[in-house]
Amino acid sequence: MPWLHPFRRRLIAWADNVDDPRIQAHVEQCERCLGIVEEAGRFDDIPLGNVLGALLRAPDSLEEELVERAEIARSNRASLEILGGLAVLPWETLQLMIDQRKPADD
Amino acid sequence: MRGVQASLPSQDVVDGLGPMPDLEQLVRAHWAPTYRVVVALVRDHGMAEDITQESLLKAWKALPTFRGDASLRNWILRIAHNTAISALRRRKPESREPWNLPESLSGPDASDLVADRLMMEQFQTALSALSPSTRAIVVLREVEGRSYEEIAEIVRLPLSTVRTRLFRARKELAIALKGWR
Repeated sequence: MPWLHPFRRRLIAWADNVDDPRIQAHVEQCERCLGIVEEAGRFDDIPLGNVLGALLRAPDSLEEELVERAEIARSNRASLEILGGLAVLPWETLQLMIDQRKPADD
Repeated sequence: MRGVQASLPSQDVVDGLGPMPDLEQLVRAHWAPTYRVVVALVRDHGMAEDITQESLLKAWKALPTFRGDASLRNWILRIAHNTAISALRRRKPESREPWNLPESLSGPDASDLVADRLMMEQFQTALSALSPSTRAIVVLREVEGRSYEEIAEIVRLPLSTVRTRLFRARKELAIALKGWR
């Protein structure tokens, strides 16, 4: 990273959406310049959290739906695991029988 | 609770965090923030519901491997973020369709409602222009109140990248909200 810092006005211009990949790369690595940019653009008075919260709010019924759906999915997976276990049982039994017969064959 | 605890893997405590929550407890405690981050990423309510469910189930199954070096909430949000990003990759290219969200605006006064809708449309357009992971960063900071360090951990980006993306995103979104304050 070049240790020459950009001029303040170039940092502010970048913050104002003037695309400059060199400034971008510098700001991403330089705490000092990132601080200048953040200081120049304070958005504390914007109710961003409130608007986002309203936009992304889930329907009230979703909690119960998710609990129910997660339980069903969990139980389906558990059943599949049991079936999978049953499917390999004959093979494992056969292997066990072969293993037991081996010493006699030798 | 339907005996969920009985089917858990052998470890019955999450390292240093007390008894392992059952699936229902986990869903109830974490569904809302998980959904908000996911819907910000995928911009589709139905898809967000599915990914939220899948993420919470994955987290619950992986609880015995949770080391406790992040908060449980952050760990779940990271799983949800990764699951949503994978789903988006499968769906590529990202749809330019409007957001598909349930109707959430309400108000007694019709003119307020129309004004809100216009503002929301403008805001959604600005939000859509951001990359999915930048949208997640904004929600994690502005709605969920996570620290920069926590966000960097959740989205697996360098701290400085998180800060610069957040700065640019706030600026874009502030422009969209200008005049509505």
